[in-house]
Amino acid sequence: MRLPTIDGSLALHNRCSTICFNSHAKGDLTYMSIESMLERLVDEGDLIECAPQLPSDAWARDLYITKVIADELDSNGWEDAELGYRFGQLRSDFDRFVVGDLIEVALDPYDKPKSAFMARLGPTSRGLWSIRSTEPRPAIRVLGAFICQDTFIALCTCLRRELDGPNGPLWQQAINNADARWASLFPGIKPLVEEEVSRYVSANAEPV
Amino acid sequence: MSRLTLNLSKPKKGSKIDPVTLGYIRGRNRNKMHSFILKLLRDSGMTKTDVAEILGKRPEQMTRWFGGPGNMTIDTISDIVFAISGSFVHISEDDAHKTAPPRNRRSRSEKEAAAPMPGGHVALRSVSSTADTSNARPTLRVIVKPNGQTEIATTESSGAHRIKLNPVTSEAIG
Repeated sequence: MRLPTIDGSLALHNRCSTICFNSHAKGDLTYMSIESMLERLVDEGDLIECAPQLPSDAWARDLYITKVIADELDSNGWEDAELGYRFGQLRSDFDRFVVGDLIEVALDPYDKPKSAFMARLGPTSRGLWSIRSTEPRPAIRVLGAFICQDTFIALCTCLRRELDGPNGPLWQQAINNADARWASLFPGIKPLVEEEVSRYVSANAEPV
Repeated sequence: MSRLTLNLSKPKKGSKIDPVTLGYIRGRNRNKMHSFILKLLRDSGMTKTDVAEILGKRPEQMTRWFGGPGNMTIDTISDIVFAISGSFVHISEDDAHKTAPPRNRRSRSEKEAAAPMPGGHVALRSVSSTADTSNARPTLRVIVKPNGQTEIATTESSGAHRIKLNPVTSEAIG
């Protein structure tokens, strides 16, 4: 079904099965479910699905990572044992989200406890978040956004030590990079922006 | 590559475990333990200040302990669990084992319907500190089976908690 060109995002994010509108190269809009869109991006290799590493784990939330992050996590060819160890732990942080463990989620980008597993990035209207992989050092921030409830798209990673304060130019550059990656993956669709943690993560998420 | 999978290696006698596997397993166990402690606190209705008071610690100490999985030691976990639930931890072995089914791509509804598989485990077990069971004191069990699967379960008057920790099967680690 084709619809006339409409400016702006028309995505409805409450459920991944909800119909959303997706802009195409010719400027027309077609509609498809977010789930179908994600499947297409996975099929085309633009996104990689992060399933629970251990088969016996529950699969409660969805996490997709970009190819860039997947390449960083690819253990083939790792010669740096310290790096391998660190990314093994980052993978376990991804699983913390995917298997539905209790996580602490901060909506306020500028006032959050150290224990926050996920925190929104400012300005909040952009809908960007970071997964805070704090241990062991070096701490890593995984920037991404929710496309719908319980479905997070991890766009890029940064070493925390290479970023400055929340409003500093390096952070802003990282946020802009994440924004650009989102736009290239999901043209015409804005990330989920809500004001309650439960609208992002349906269960086992504590607002902090 | 449509799915992210680490090549975890199974421990072998005489062979050093690779850092990726070690990093993953450590992180997974720490995260599980941290989530478990946070859940225990949340479900108890207590605050971190309450726990600090019971343990005679400063609130800042609680902030550190609850602030991240890396700040928890066995002593810390023992203190927190005891302060919140009145339980202590007992280590026992359990040879029970079930093999997890192969995982295929599933729809959301299938994911929601899928229950975590129980696994073989070695485990810690928390035993009520009192013989009087009339008050239904909560208990904690952390079961780590010989095949590496681990599970934590607590029971309280308000219901049961069951948290799986780092279930490792030969399917996951080849």
